[in-house]
Amino acid sequence: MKGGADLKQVWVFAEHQAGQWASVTRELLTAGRNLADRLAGELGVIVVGDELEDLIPTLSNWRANRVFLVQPKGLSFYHPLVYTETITEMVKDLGCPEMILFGATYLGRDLAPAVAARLGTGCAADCCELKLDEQGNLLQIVPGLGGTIFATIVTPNHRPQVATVKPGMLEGEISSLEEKAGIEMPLEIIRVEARIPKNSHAVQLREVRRKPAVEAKLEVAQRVVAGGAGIGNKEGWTVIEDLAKTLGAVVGATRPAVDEGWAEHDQMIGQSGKTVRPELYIGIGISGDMMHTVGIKGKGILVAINQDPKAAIFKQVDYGIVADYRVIVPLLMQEIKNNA
Amino acid sequence: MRPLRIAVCVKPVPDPKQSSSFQIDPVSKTLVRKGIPLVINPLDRHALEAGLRLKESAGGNVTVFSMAPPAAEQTLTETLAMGADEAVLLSDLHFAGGDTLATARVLAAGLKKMGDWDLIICGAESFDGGTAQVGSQLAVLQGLPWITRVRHLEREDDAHLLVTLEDEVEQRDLLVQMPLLLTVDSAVNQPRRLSLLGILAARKRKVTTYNFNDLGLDKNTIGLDGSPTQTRELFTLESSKKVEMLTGNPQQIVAELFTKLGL
Repeated sequence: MKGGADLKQVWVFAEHQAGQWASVTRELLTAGRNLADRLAGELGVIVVGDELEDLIPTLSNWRANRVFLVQPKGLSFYHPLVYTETITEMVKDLGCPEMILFGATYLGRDLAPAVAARLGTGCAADCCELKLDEQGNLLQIVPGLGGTIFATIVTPNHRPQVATVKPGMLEGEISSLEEKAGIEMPLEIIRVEARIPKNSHAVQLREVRRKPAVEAKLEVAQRVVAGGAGIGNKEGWTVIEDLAKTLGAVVGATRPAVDEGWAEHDQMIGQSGKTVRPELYIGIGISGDMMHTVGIKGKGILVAINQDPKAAIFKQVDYGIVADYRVIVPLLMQEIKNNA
Repeated sequence: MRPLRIAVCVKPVPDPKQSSSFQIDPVSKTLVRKGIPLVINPLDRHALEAGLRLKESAGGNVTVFSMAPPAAEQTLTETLAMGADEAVLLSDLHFAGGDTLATARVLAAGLKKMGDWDLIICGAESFDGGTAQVGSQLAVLQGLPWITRVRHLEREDDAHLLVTLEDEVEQRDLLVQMPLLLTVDSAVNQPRRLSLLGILAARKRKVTTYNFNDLGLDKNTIGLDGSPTQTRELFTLESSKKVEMLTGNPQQIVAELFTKLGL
């Protein structure tokens, strides 16, 4: 690699959709640039896809040193075997980077652990913060142990350090870095051939359906009403939905509520779900695991309704109500309607 | 259609329904497991259900694998009660403390010991770890293709399955060829409830247990010492919120909340 052989390398896998960087890609590029600077190293960006002429030059905003451009012929979808093989071979051919960062998206959560397994190295899932220790090891902060605790994961003896980063967690750092842009940096483009493993024919695309644009998106919702295991049953869930409708809020859920089948996976807030930044959050029948509350960000007002006075949620909100939601919520909806 | 040899990997986890009583030991910084019953990881019940349905439609057998402490035997008996033909517990102190890759290595060795599989099914992620990594890592170690977070699954022909997955923007139907590994989401099916007859019958059956010596693994690749990732520090985040509890009768509470929120 030109000029970079002795410098520490930070690689970011850059996902894009409809000609735009995914929001998590921008966060990763910012984090990757900062980490590369702290290591006095370089930022390399892995991009897979065609028709990216307008997008690739924007990587200069993050002072990316080089782009690894992969354009697999005739492959229009994320193929786990091809992507894993290609990145694994890149590490072998181009020199082993210090770290490879992926977004904790469908693709990233599928690909990153597979690449790590191929290379026999470690992968930290769903990081909400990345730091460096004095030796330059990546400190990967992840929620763990049933969401009751955070853990710092390190991969001290293996390289690359592989991590997926939860979307929405590193927000706020983008603008500060973009202001520093403007220093003209030559962006080296390295074309990397896609590797097609022998068994890749075992996965073939039959059909693609665009998901209907979600009417109200949790991530940008001003108001969120979320329900957890304490809702008890499907009928109870309709109470949550009714309150959300009355408030003009978006319905969110904890993982137990999704597992019970009351809510869709798309509605899950937390470690393996969405990150929300509402002005008002009302959590009902939610115990307050960090697994869920790690997904509630921002400076909005938080309210909890739960029958269990010892629920951890009552330590994390602005207003707590120990009561049966079946009593409180209908009264609240009535109050709102009376005052409308 | 050709009968299938199906393996289902399951993880015993602390009962999610009791998560409000989870506590962290202030000294060891680990979860206090005492008094919290183990259950099959919720998504793994969907994995087992998927395996059982394929077996019921075309014959074959379903074997359940789990890497867990000996206490998990009872949990595995439950998978026999659901309809699994055999349950294999991979249990040894050498396996303890493994990260996802070290765990996948043990599972891969256990699967290999029992022969070749047409299909391996895992839950997409565990309730407690939640990394969703063991599935694709297990496939990689065996050189198998994999698809994660399958939401719909049907048999296409002797060698193929049709699966549906969903990412952030689209749903994709993929035609996949066995042998391969799938991880499933909760949307894939509704797991069956345990029948009393099933429970009674399962009690008489034995869970097969393999330990370190049975699997022929390199000690340096498994357990805590063989894990590329290490947990350096565990900590809790203290909320900086000043919590105000609203009390009184329901009407008073609602009136106060309404005012506080300025609705």
